[in-house]
Amino acid sequence: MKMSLEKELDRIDRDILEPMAHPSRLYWFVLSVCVFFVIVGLIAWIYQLKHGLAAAGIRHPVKWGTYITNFVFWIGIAHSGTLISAVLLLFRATFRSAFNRATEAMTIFSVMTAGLFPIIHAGRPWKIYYLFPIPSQREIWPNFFSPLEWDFFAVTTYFTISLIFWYLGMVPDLAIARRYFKGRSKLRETFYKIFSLGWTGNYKQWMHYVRASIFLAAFATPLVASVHSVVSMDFAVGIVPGWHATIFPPFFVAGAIFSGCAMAFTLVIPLRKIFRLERYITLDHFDNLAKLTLFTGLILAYSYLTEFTLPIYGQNIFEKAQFYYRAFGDYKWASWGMIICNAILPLTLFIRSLRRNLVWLFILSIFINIGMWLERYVIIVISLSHEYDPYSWGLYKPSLVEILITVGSFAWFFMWFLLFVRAIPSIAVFEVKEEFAKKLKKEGKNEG
Amino acid sequence: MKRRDFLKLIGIGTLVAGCEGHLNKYYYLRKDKYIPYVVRPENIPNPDAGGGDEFLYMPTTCVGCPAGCGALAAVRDKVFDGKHGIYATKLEGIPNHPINDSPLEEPFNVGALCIRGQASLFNLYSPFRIRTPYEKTANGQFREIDWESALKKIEEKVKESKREGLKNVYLAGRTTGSLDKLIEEFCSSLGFEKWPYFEPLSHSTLREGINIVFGTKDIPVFRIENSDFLITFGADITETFVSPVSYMAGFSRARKNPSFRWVHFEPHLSATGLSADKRIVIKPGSEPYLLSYFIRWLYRENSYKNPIPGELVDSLPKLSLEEVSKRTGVDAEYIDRILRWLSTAKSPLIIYGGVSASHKYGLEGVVLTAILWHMLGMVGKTLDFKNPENYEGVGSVKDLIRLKELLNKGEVGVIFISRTNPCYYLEGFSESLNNARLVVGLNYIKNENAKVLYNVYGFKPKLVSDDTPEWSETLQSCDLILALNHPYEEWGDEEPRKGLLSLRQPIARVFEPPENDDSNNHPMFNTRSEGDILLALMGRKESYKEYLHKNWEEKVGKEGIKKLLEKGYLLYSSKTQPSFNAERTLSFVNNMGIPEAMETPILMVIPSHRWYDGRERSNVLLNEIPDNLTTITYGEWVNMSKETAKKYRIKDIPPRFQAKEEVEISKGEFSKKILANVQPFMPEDIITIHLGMVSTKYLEVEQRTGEFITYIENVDVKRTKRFVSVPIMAGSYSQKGRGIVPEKHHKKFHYKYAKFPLSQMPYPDHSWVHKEYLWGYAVDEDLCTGCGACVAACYIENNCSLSGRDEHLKGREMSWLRVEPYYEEEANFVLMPCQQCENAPCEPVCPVRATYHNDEGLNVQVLNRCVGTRFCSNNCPYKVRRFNWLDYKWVEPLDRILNPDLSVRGKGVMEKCTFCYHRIRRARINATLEGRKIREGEVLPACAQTCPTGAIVFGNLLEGTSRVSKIANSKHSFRVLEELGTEPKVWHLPKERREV
Repeated sequence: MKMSLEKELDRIDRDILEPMAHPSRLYWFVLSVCVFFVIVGLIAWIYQLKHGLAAAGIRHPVKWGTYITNFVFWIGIAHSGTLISAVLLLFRATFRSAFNRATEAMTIFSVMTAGLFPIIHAGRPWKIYYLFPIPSQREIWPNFFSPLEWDFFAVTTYFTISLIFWYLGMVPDLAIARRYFKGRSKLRETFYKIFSLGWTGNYKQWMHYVRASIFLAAFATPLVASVHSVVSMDFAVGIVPGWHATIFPPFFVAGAIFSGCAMAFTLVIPLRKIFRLERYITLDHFDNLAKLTLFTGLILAYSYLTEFTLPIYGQNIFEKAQFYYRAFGDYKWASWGMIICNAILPLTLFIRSLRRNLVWLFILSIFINIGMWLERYVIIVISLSHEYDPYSWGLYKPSLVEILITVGSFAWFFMWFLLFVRAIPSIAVFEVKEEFAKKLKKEGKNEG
Repeated sequence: MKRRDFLKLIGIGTLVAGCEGHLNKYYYLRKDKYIPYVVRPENIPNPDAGGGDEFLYMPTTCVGCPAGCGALAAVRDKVFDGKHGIYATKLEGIPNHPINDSPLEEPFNVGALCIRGQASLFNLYSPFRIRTPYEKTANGQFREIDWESALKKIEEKVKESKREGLKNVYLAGRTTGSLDKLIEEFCSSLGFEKWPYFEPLSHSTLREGINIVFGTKDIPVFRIENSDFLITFGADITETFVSPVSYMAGFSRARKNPSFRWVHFEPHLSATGLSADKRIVIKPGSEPYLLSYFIRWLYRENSYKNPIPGELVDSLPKLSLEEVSKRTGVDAEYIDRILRWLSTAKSPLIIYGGVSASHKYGLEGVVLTAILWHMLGMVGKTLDFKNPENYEGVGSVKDLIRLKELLNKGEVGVIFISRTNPCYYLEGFSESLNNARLVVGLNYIKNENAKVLYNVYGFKPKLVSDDTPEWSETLQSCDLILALNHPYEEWGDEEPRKGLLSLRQPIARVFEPPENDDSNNHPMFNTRSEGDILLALMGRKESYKEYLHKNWEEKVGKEGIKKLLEKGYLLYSSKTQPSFNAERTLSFVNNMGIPEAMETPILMVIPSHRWYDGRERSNVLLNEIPDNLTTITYGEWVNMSKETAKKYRIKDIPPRFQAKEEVEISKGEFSKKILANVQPFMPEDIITIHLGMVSTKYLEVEQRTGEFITYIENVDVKRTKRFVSVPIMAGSYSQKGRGIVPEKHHKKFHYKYAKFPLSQMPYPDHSWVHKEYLWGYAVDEDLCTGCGACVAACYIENNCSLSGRDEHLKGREMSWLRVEPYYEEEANFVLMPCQQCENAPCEPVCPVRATYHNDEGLNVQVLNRCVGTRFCSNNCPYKVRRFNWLDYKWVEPLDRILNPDLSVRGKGVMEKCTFCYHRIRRARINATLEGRKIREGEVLPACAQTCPTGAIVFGNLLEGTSRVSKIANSKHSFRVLEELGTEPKVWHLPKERREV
C-alpha cells in the first residue's frame, strides 16, 4: 500500500511537471505568433505616441472606445481567478484545485494587460505619473474624487495582492519542481532554487503557510467585489445616460466573474488536452465551474433586463432614448450580440450533458468572451455616441491602430500564459496530492 | 511716490528727452517716419496696452466684403524668419463707426464684425499668398521674376501697343477712395481705358431700378433702426447683402421697439429668413405681383404719405387678392395682414434685393419697391441717401461681356486685371484674354476659389483638393503676375459709403531694418502695393503713401488727416436726397414684363455667408467653421427639401453618418456632380447651391441691368448612386424632444426634476468661494441670427486649431464655441460655449485635478496638468470640451496669427472655452492698478465683442445691476439642460415668436 502511494505521488509529479520540459512544435508556433502580434501592437502604440490619439478611431462625442473596452474587459477576466482561488479556498471548495493555479495566473496576466490600457489611452502617457500620489514640493495631489483615481488604487492593490497570493500558493510547488528538475536543466534549477525560498515542507513551514494563505485569501476576497465595483464607477459616477445607474457595481462584478469563468474554460480546456491532465482536471471540475458560469450569467441576464426596463417606466427621456438607441439604433448588432452571447447562450448550461461537453463549453466560452467584450463596447461606445445634446451625436469606428493594439493585448496575455505553463506547474501539485491523499484516506476508511 | 508712478515718470521723462515725436496714439515719429508704438524702444510706454501686454489696437478697414466696415486690429510685435515686424492677431469693429457700430450702448459697444470680417486675417496670412511677381514662360509655366524686369516688360508692351494703335484696358475689382483716383490718373496718363469695376455681386439690378425711380444709381443705407415694420424680399441682410453688419446692428436696435416686426419673403431658405419674425416662401420670380398688389391696395385705401400718379397704378397688373395669392403662393390672409401692418406702421422699410433681384423680373420688383419707398415716405427716414453705399464705377456683367467682345476683336494691347477673377464668372473670358498682347494680373491670393481641404496631418499632407489648380482661372491666363500687398499690409483708404473716408494702414509689416521707413515697401513677402506699382509705371517719384496724404489733404485738410489717423474714419460730406421721377417710372411700368411661373425644379445659385461670392473659398477658417444652415464644413453640396429628395429617390441620410448621396445636376452645357443635402424648411422644387461651389459661367445675364440671373430653371437631377462622406458637424438637426430650447411642443416630453437644493447636491457647496466676481454669460436668441461671427472671433482669439477635412469627418473640430441649428416646428440657433457649470460634471472626474473651479466661478482647465483621460469630456452633457488629438499645425504663414496671450495646445490635452480668461485677467490687472473692481462692460469675451446684433451679454453675476444678472434672474430666461442640476452659467433668452 505504502509503495503504491509513493508511486502514485511520483506519477502526479511526472504527469504535471514533465510536459513543462517538452514543449511541442505547436507550442513554439503559437508562442511565436503571440510574440509577433505583441511586437505589432507595440509598433502600433509607438505610432500612436508619435502621432497623437488621432491615430485611434475615438472622436468627438465618443472619446472612449476600444481601449477602455479592453481595460474593463481584462479587469473582468482577472476576477474569476481571485474568486476561484481565494473565495473558494475560504469556502473549502475542493473543485478549485484543478483550476486555481491557471486562473490565478490568468488574473495576474490580465491585470497586467488591463493596466496597459489606461496608459495607452491617455493623451499624454508620459505624464501618467500625475495620477500617483507623490508628495511633491508644490503639494499638488491627484483628485481623490475621481473614479479614475480610485481605479488607479484599486488596480494596483489588486495586482499586488493577487501577485503575492499567487506566488505564495506556488512556493511548495516550486520546491517540488526544484526537486524534480534537479540536474536536468541549469536554468530551471536556479530559477526554482531562488523562487522556492528554501521551502522544505516541514511541519512548521506548512503551519505558517496555511495561515498565510487563509489570511491572504480573506484579504483578497473583498477585492473581488471592490475592484470591479470601482471600475464600474468609472461609468456610474458619470452622468452619461446609460452609465449613470446604481445597478452598475453588482452588475459589473457578476459580469466580471462570468467572463473570468469563460476565459478559464478557454484556457484550461486546451491546456488539459495538450498536457494530458485529464486525470487531474475532471469533468466534475468543469461541471462545477459551468454552474458558477450559469449562475453569474443569470445575474447578468437579470441586470440587462433591469437596465432596459427601468427607463421604460422611468421619466428620464435621455435614458429612454439611450436604451431605445441601444436596441434599435446604429449599434444594434452589438447590443443584440451581447444579449445573445451573455444572456441566452449560457442558458444551455442548464442541461447537464452540455455542462460536461468540453467542446460545447469551449465554444460557449468563446461566445461569452466575445459577448462580454461587446457588453463593455455597448456600455461605453453606444452611451457616448447618443448623449444629451443631439448636435453632438456621432458614430465611432475602431481604427487600425486600435485593432492592432487590441490584438496585441490578446497576444500579450497569451504570451505570458504560454510562458507560465512552461515555467510553473499549471496545476497545484501539492493540492492535487492532498486531495489524492484525502481520497485514499476515505477509501481506506470504507475498506477498513 | 509709488514705485509704479515713479517708473511712469521715468518713462515719460525719457520720452520727452528722446528725439522721437508723438504723432498720435498709434505712431510716434522718427525722422519723419511713422513707427507704431508696438515697436518701440524700451523706455517709451505703450499708451494703449493695459496689463503690461505688448499690443496696440490700430484702426483699418475690413476687406472681408465690399461693405468696408471699420476694423481695429490688435497688433503685436513678433519675430518671424528672423525678421522683426508687427503682425495683426485679431480684428474688432471700431466703436461708433458709421457702418458697423455695435448696437449696444456704452460701455458695451466695443465694435462688431461679421464672420468674414473676422476671418479676413486668414486671407492676409493665407498659405495661398502670391509672394513674388511671376512671368509666364513659353511652355505656359510661371517663373519668378524681379520687380524691375516685370515693370520694364509692361512699359515696353504699353509702348508697343501704342505704336500699333491698340487699346489698353484696366479692369479691377471694386475700388474706392484714393486708389480709384490714382487708377484714373494712371489710365489717362498712359492711355489706358478704365473699365467699369467688376464685382460679381454688383447689385446692378437694384441700382438700375433705383435709377429709374429716383434718378440716382446709389444704393441707400437702409436704416432698419428707424423702422417699425421691415419687409425684406430675398435680401439676406444678415449674411451677404450689401452691408450685413450695419443691417444686423440696425435690426438689433429696431428690436428694442416691442412693436417692431420683420417679414421676410424668399423663394428658398436662408438664415436671414429664419431670423425674421415671419418667413414667407414666395414662388420664385413672383414678387412683382405681390408688390403691385401692395401699391394698388395702398393707393385704393388712401394709406400713403406721398402721392403717385394714378396712371401708374392703372398700368399695374390688376389681379384680385386670390389671384395674387395663387401666383405668389403666399397665403391671402397673410397678404392682407401684412398690408394692414404696412399701412399702420409709422416708419416702414422695404428692402428688395439678393435672390429676389436676380431673376428675370428682378428689375420690376426693384422699381415697384422703389415706388413703395416713395409712397410710404421712407426716403429720408428709413432710407438714407445722404451717404449711400459707394458702388460708383462698378459695372456689371454686361460691361465684362463688352470687354470680351473687344478682346475677341483683337483690339486690346495691354490689359491689367486687378483683384478680381472675371474668368471664373464669365464663360469664355479666359480664351478671349489670349487675344491681348499682354495680360497683367495683380492679386495677392493665388487662387481664391481653391477648394481647401487642410489635410495637413498624416502621411499625405494635402492643403487643397486634387482638382484645384494652383492659380485662379484669371491668373492662369495672365502673362505677368504682379504680387500685391494684402490691403492689410499697406497704407490706403476706402470710401465704402460716399462721403465716408475710411483709413487703411499696415497692420502686418516687417521692419527691416526697424528705422528704415514706413512706406508700403515692407510687407511680409516680395510684394508691392497697387498704388506704388501704378506710380512707378507712371514714372512718378512719390510713394503711394505720399500720394495718399496729398489726396487726403485735398479732401479733408490737415485737421481731417489727424482725425482720420486717430479714428480710422471720417465723414466729410453728404449728398442731398433724390426725388421721385414719375415720368421715367411711368414709362418703365408701362413696358413692364409680366412674370410667368418658372419651370421647376429650379437650381438657385446663391451667395454663401462664408464664401461671399466665392472669393473667400480659399479662406481656411471659413472652411473650418460650419455653414450656418447645414453645419457642413469642408465640402460642396446642394440643399433640397425632403419632398424634392423623395421625388428623385435621393436618400435622406441622417447627419450623424456624415455622408450624402451624390447627384448630377445638369441643364444644357451645365453639369455638376455634387452631394445632395436634405435641408429642413426648404421649399419644394428649389435646389440651392452656393457661389464658390459653382461658377456663374452657365448663368444667363439679364439684358437690361447686366446682372446674372441666378435661377436655372428646369434642371435635370440624376442620382449617381454614389455615397460620399462629407463633414457635417451636427449629429442631428432635431432636438428629439429634449428641450434644448424649451419650445412649446417639447412640453409633453420635457421632464423636470424638483429642483435640488444646492446643499443636497452631491457636489460640495462652493458658493462661498465667489467673493468678487462670478462671471455669467447670456445669449439673446431673439437677436441671434446664427451668423457665426462669434465662432470666427473665438477661433482667432483663442488660437483654436484648424483640423482640416479628414479630422472633421471624425467630428474632431476644435471650435470652443458653436452655433447649433435645430429645426423642428420652428428653427432655433443655439449658441454653445462652455457653460461654466457651477456644479460642473467635468470637475470631479478628472483624476489629476486638471480642471477645477476657480474663485470667479469659471471652470478652468490647467493645460499643463492634463494627462488626457478625456473623462471630463465624456461627462460633459454639452460636449463643449475639445481634445487635442494631435499636434495641430498652422501652415506658414498662418502661424503669424497666433495670439501670444494664450498658449498653443500640444497633443493629448483637453481644452475648452474659458470666457476669454486672458481678457478678464488683463482687465483685472488694470482694475487692481487703479484700486477698483472690474467695471461692467470692461471685459467682454471675443464672441460677445464681435456679435453684430449684440446678442451676447457677459458680466458679473454678483452685481445685481449687471445686464447678465438681470437676464439670469428673469423669468423668461432658460438654461440648456437645466434639469441636470449642473447649474450652467450660460443663460438664453428664448426667441420670441411674434405674431405678424
